Amino acid sequence: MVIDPRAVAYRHPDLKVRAVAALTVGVTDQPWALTSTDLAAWRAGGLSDAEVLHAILQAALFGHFTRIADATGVASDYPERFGVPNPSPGTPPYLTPTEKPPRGAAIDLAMHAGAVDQLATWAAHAGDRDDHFDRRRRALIRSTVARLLGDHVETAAPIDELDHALVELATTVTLAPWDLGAAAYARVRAAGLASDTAVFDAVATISSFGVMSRIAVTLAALAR
Amino acid sequence: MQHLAIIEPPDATGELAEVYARMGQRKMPTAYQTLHGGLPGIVRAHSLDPKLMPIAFGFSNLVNMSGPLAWPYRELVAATTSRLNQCLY
Repeated sequence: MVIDPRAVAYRHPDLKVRAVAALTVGVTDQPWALTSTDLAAWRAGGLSDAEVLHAILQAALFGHFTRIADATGVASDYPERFGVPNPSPGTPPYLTPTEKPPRGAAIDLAMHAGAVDQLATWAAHAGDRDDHFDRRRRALIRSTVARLLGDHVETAAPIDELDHALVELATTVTLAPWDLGAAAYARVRAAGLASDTAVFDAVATISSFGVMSRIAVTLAALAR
Repeated sequence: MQHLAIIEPPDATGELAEVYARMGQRKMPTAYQTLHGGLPGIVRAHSLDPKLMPIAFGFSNLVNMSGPLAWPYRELVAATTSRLNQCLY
């Protein structure tokens, strides 16, 4: 357990530990705010570009896992004697970008073998089907998550109440996953996603597009 | 507190039962093996979408079972992400 990740990122005596912690904080908190200066600092801390990419992929994946754990409220696998971290009630949402980083990539995603293909399969599952809600709503979710993270995706506008409910849920999942729970699901349920399976699909679709956008934005931001 | 249903392995049928069986056979770092011996909670938390489960954990295998970043640093990434997202898991 890491009690204070930002302290590790700024003050840990081992520069490589500091670099990995700083990278993870950047990818998780404000990927759109990263720059080539951050990448240079991580390289100076001892990370190769392949390690930087690996850590970005890992942080994006765990961004999904933590959101799914928060969304479902699944119980811990470990006994409480290992300690349960204190949540901080009232934690404010992550900030949204003031500007999108220009398109680009400081490191080629293809450097991590298999990543391009597996992420394409994942994105297709999130976007290319019509069960629970259709492709148009899935494109709206993708565009909303992209906007919240500073990614370049064609914009889409909400049309009906379910659209607005999905945009609201996408904002919570992406920027304040610790607020997920019955209250956060009430509006999408009332607008038509009544079953737990449909609500889970909405949350998982949002989280999945978060993985894609988080990786794309991080790689683009580090290039400027 | 549980917010959404989780279909546990003994209750799973059809596609989910098949996916659970495959997930049980997948190689996993020793540190991720649960003390209760069953599938990890984060796997079961995907039970309402049996098609997403192998996709997400296929990607997990890609970044956990190979790649240049050494194990302790991967754990630091995981623990840091969890803490920042206020995740109790």
